Amino acid sequence: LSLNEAMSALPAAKSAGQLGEQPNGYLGVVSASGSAAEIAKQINQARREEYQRLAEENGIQLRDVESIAGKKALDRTPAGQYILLNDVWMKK
Amino acid sequence: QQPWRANVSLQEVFLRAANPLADTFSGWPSLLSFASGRLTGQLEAVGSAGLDSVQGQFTLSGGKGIFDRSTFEGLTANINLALAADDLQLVFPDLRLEALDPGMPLGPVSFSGEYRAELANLTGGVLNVDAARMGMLGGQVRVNAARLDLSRPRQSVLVELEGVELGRLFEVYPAEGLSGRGTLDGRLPVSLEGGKLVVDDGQLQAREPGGFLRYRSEKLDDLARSNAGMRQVAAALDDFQYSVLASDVAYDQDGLLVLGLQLQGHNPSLQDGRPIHLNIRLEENVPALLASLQLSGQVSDIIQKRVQERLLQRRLAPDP
Amino acid sequence: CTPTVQLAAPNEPININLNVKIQHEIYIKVDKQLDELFSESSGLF
Repeated sequence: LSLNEAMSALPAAKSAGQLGEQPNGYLGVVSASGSAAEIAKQINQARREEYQRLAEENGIQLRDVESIAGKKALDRTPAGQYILLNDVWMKK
Repeated sequence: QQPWRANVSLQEVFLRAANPLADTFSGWPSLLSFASGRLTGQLEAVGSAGLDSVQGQFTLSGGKGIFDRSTFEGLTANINLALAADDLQLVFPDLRLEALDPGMPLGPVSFSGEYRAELANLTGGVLNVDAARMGMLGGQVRVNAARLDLSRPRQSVLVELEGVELGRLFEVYPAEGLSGRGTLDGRLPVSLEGGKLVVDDGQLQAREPGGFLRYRSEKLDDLARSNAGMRQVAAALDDFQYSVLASDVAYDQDGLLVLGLQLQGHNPSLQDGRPIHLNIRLEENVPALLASLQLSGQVSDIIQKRVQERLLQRRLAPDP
Repeated sequence: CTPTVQLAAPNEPININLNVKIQHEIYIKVDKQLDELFSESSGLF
């Protein structure tokens, strides 16, 4: 699965409840069906590179970028999709 | 006229539901909101023609909530109230707060003292502090006996810093590659003006035998590549073992902290440990620091909103 | 005996003066930069 393929499959995987957003800024597998795990791997890899770049560019810690990203991901997840709260997958 | 006496016991009040304190006291700070807390107590009123005096004992426990942009929890206090003519006195023998978080975890806080004011001017009374302490970064901040007359434009109080650990500060401080060790004590003459805190010629110094400072980051390396002076700084700070660290401290109304740091030490692997005198004038905007800590930390939405509003206002207000 | 030359560290200290002004708007800047990543069109959200 290429990154591009993962990107195009991501919206469907999210609305089907296979993948959800986590406070650490990365995708989590809610139910491992289809290529959910593979999509998450590709997308998280791309996100990690982005976070690393932002951390270096601004001279702040990677975990700070990840936690700002995590908050944003949870806030912006539309209703009906999954988010991880206190280690429990919840439907927003 | 027959003298009368009335005893009233306060039915338990849950501060989360209705905040009776906020409704009754007009001077109640609008930025103080309780998420939980229980208030119990009883009152005794005595009079002949009208009301002569009121005595009351209250107990607040489990107080949790937000004040301005800080969360607090574990607030307990016994409050003794005395009202005679129109002179109100509130005595706090043992106020205690488990934790306070303006962006950096602080606490526990303990306070004992009393507040006296005229009913007509509740916020312009006199606060007598017997003792106040707050845990901070492995050490504590302390205020000993002080008298603050809030009706005057300016109040001043001596704040002492004791045993603050540099290592803990760098753990919380949002910069990569910064580490160190050292125990700091200090004396900060603080004055309050219009609710704003100001420090003039405060003093800060590290205890014997000193400690170390390390700053290793790509940003510093980039600067060092292009600038000889910065190369020397990067070399020194790669592993700076200091014996002396002393600083004067100034903090202005806009939250600008200026430290005049003087360090004496050496880097064992730099010119065979040749002595280095490092003088750093450090400028730090504390509200911006706390705002950025809160932005990156997990904070409640209410604070998030206030942080954004405060930043917006600062950006819109013309620079002084 | 042959004198050994001990290279004593020159005791005259190196003096370094530094002016550091810390910018904390960085977090707010990063917050903005992450906005693009967490928008529909980024493909990563």
